[in-house]
Amino acid sequence: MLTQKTIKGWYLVHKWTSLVCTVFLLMLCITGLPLIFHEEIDDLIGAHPVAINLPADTPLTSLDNIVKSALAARPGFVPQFMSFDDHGEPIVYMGMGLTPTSQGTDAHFDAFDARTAEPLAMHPFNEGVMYFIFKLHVDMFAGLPGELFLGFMGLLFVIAIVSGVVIYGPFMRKLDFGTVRKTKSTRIKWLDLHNMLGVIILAWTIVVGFTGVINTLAIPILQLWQYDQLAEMVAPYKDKPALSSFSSIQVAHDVALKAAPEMKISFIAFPETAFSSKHHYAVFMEGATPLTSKLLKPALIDAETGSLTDMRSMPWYTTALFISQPLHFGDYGGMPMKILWAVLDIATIFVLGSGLYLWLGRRRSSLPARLAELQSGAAEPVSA
Amino acid sequence: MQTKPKKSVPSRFWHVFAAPLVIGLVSIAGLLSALIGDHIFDVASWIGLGAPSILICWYAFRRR
Repeated sequence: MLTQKTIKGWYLVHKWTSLVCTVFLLMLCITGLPLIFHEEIDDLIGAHPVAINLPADTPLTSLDNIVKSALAARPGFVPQFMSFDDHGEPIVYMGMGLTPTSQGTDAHFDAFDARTAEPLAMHPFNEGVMYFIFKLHVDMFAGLPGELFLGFMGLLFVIAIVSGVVIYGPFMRKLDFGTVRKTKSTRIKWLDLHNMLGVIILAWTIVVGFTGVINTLAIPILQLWQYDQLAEMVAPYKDKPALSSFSSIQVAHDVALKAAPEMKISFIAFPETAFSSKHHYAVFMEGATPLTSKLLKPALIDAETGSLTDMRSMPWYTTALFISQPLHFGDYGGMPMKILWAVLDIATIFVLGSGLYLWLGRRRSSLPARLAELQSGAAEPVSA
Repeated sequence: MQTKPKKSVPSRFWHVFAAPLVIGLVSIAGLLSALIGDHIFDVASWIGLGAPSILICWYAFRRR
């Protein structure tokens, strides 16, 4: 049984963590809503490249031809990444940068037809309304500090949820589950709605909130992997001079696939990028089931000889990141799941909004009065 | 107030938290299901996450 003092403590934790994070959480819920459907919106506005209409049995061209085509399309740029279409379309994407590690405006993403190596028209991903919404959601245009700040807000949100559950106990002692008293007063109606909605969507909000926090740590987590496992894998090559030219990427692709025939290739990092070494292509393999497709396994291919030098599963902390991504995005169970994600997101907006309303409407009521309200299940109206 | 006999602590706990616990477990099963497999696992996910969605509509809009 909770004592008066502990109830007061948990109430204050709930109040203050909520107050600090609510505005940011409202922003995240509102910007998150269109992001759930970003694939469909991209299709609708024609942001996806479309492969050239060719007979279905047209053979794929060598990936080396695609690299040549990409270099010709962007003079002065070097290849950073090559990736393949998620939906099995014959499209190959090339990440190009002024240097192998360039980011932001010094890097571009281009699409090519996998059979002809011809460039395909594509909206730049870093422009437009959806990109604005995306940046607002991820880092509020403030880079890594913005991302980490939102991660901290997410952490406060999780604490607010947990403390909310604790004070839900004494409030509901004399009430039936799901009680919403609509006729008593607006405050009691919204208090009941706040409790009912909050407790029903509890598991979803904790999972989406907590995996969101993990996602804000993506950059540090991947850097940790670079200094840890990747450094260990390429250690024997540490003192070798940089290569003047690289071996065939098609060979690297085929060698990696032969080493793990049950897997698919997600993307290939070119030598000298942050995800490979000066001397290696890193071919990131993914499994075939919904779960294993999130778990990447890098195969390192010597970019001089074209042979496999190492292949390992990634460590637990990147696994945690990769599993957190679908659980935050809701993109792993088709359209019905996206719709349910949207419904639960809107319910979260109501919980946040009602919480804010209850705080703004506290008016003349004192802290003891609000604690009495909490413990009696609002049997007696507050601020009478 | 004093007329009701005092309930024991465990039964008071379950009076409040039995329903939230069941809904939470169903939601988590829904969240994990589509991660493990496709087809029938996707459908199980829709049911697991559909349950809280339907419950909030039921409790928000019912007349009483």
